[in-house]
Amino acid sequence: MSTSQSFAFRYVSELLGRRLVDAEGRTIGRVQDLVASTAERFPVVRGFVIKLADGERRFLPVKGADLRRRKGRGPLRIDDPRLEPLQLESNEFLIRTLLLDKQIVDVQGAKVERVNDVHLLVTDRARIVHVDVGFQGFLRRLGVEGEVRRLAHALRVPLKEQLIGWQYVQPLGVQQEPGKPIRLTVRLAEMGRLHPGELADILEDLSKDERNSIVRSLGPEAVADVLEEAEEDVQAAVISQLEPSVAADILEEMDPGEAADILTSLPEAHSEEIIAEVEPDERAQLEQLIEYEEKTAAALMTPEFVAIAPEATAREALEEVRRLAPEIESIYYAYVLDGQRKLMGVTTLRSLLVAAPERPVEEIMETRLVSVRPEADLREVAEVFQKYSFLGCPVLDADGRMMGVVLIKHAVDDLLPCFRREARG
Amino acid sequence: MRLRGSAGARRLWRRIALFMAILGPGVITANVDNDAGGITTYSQAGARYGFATLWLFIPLALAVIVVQEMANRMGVVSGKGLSDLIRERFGVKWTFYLMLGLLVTNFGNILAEFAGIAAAGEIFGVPRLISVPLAALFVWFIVVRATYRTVEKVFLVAVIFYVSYILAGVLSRPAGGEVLQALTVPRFIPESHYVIMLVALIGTTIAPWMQFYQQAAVVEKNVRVDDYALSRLDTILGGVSVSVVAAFIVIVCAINLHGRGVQIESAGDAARALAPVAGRYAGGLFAFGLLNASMFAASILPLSTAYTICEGFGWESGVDKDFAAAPQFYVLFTALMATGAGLILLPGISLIAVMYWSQVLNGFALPIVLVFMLMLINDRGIMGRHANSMWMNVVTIVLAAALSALGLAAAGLAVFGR
Repeated sequence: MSTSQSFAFRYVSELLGRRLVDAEGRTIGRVQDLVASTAERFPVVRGFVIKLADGERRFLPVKGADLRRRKGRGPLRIDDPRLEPLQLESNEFLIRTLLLDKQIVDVQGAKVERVNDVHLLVTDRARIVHVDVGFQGFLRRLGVEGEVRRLAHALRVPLKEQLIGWQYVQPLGVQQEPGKPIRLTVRLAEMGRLHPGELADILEDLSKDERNSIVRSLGPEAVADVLEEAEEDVQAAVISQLEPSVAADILEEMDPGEAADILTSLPEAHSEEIIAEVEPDERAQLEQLIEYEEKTAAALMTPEFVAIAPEATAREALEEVRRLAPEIESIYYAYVLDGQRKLMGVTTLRSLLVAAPERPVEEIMETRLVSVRPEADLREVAEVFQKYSFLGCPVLDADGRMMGVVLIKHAVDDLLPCFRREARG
Repeated sequence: MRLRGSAGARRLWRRIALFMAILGPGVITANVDNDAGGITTYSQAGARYGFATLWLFIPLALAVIVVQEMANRMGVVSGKGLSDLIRERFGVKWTFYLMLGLLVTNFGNILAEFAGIAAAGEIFGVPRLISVPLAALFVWFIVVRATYRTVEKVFLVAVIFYVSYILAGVLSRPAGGEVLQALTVPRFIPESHYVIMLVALIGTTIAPWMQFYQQAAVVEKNVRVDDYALSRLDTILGGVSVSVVAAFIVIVCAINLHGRGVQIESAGDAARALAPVAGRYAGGLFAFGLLNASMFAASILPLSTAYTICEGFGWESGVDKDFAAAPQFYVLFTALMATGAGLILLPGISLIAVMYWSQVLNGFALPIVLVFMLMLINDRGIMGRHANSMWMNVVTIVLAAALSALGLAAAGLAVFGR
């Protein structure tokens, strides 16, 4: 017996189901769950949820039990047991209910994992330091860890521990209170550190409620960034499971072309519900984009671009670029439009920067124009990009009025097959 | 394209469009169960007892609908697969043993599907040494190289091919009145083999893997709780269509083979026996139907098994992930396909015995899965207000008990009665 030992590691699975006895060895009950408090960075175990002989559940503070003592599966002795009614504070959670066998996000590895066990560091208090997502944890729960470990040792197969530090763990336990939107039971700040692309992959692996609660806690702007990085079916899955008003808030933050793509991939009955919630000025634009047939320049294009009057100076043009930059995806080209919005020329950000500030853009713009019609198919658009290596290609209607720009970064997924075919042919 | 017309017609049109988007999991799951083993059993029933088992198909459709509706509802409401829920609610030990049992059971079914492919190929004169590896490779590529949406479309097309059985039925010119009477008026032949046949028909129509598959498929489809009515319609359509096809198989064999002393031991036998009596077309359609059904089930079963087990154990899974991201998933899927196809190629293996024992295993596993499902669907922490109501529980518990008893009886009779 080593009570003098200053610290020890314990697994939650070693504690669950254990019989608790008082100083005289009388049975109090069995450990059903553990209560932990998030008040500190590494949650501190506050006590046990005890199932009494009559089936009732009580709370028992952890004080008086020395969790450092290693006693196998034998009973755990509590010197002065004081049972209390089970009632959780707002910063407390149940370890087994929230974590064991549940999915969590490993923020460092940017992956969704299933928790096999929870790793505690016990000093004078017990704290959650890791969750165990490895095969060893699985074997431990099955009760065959020792046997398999000996076997692996004999066969010289290394068994790796897979522990994730608590600071990188985002539990996905969801609280559902009647009338309130679902939210995560335990929220850590780390989720925000993930790259939008990584978050998109994670969202794909989650169930509906978990996904919705994360989407809600991130806010529409961050979710819009995430969705722009996501695959088409993940976009549709996330948007279709949200309430129409929440979905509309997110779509408003996205590039209209992408937003329209998502809406087209949803059944019409759903997309109309969502569009009805979009702000009126953006709604008209979205509806227009949805009307366009898929796989044409019109469907690929974004209606947002830098438009400049011919008589504007280079300085004024740059100011306009600066003003629009936060909202517009591509600012590398500025399009010079006349009073009827007909395209007269195009100028690059670079030529605006090197031009004398007071020179009118009319004099510096490129007038040999390459453009496509809205009904142009993928092959035609691909040809333009391949031939001229532009980052964007303007789309003009029959009268030469500018409707939008196909950006290569939006179109690349759709165009890739065409590029390949070109390369081969 | 938008349809002009009254607001009512437009609303209806949109509901139909939405239904077409939701359609899939229910219809596919139910119809996959008209697999090689099922077709064999239906053929035997028709050849031996004529129309005398037809009345069973209406209650059978109801049973399929009630059980599959529960899996479907759990998928839509929780957004999680059945093995996910079992793991989260019952922990590692229960999950482990259940998954182990399911692995063995499903492997039996996979063997049966490859046996069906071998039998169908042989009718067309293709030796199994060619048909089975070819089919396995084809299925493996489709599943590994395609997205879920494409796979689902391929499966829906496969469902349409079941029409070949209905065509074969029509070519046999059944007497409408007689069939209608046989469908609606229960008959009973006091003969022990007749009872075994009824039990076998039930055992082959509701298998444990179906609930796992349908729940996973409906989760993957992202059906909204608001649209649940349409998703339920998909399940109902599945239950009805699987029974219609099954009934037609019985009808074809009843008209052409009943009372002629033909011994049917496999679906292949049935197709061969049909050719001279019912004409080349009916026989050919029958064989084609068998091939289609076996291929269809041979692609779904290994996939569903790999998904189910990885989900329960917490391993990465999914055809959209590459091997490095989901090694266990691909190893399991490939191993199930390879050993399933490989064992069927062993000389001297009895295809009939394989199909038969796979149904025995199903019979044992089904009651266990049903108990887990009933516990989960009554958990308000998971299902909220979509948990089973009192009367739904009464209906499902009675049904589960009856199915369990019959499943176990089928298994028992298979072990001792043969």
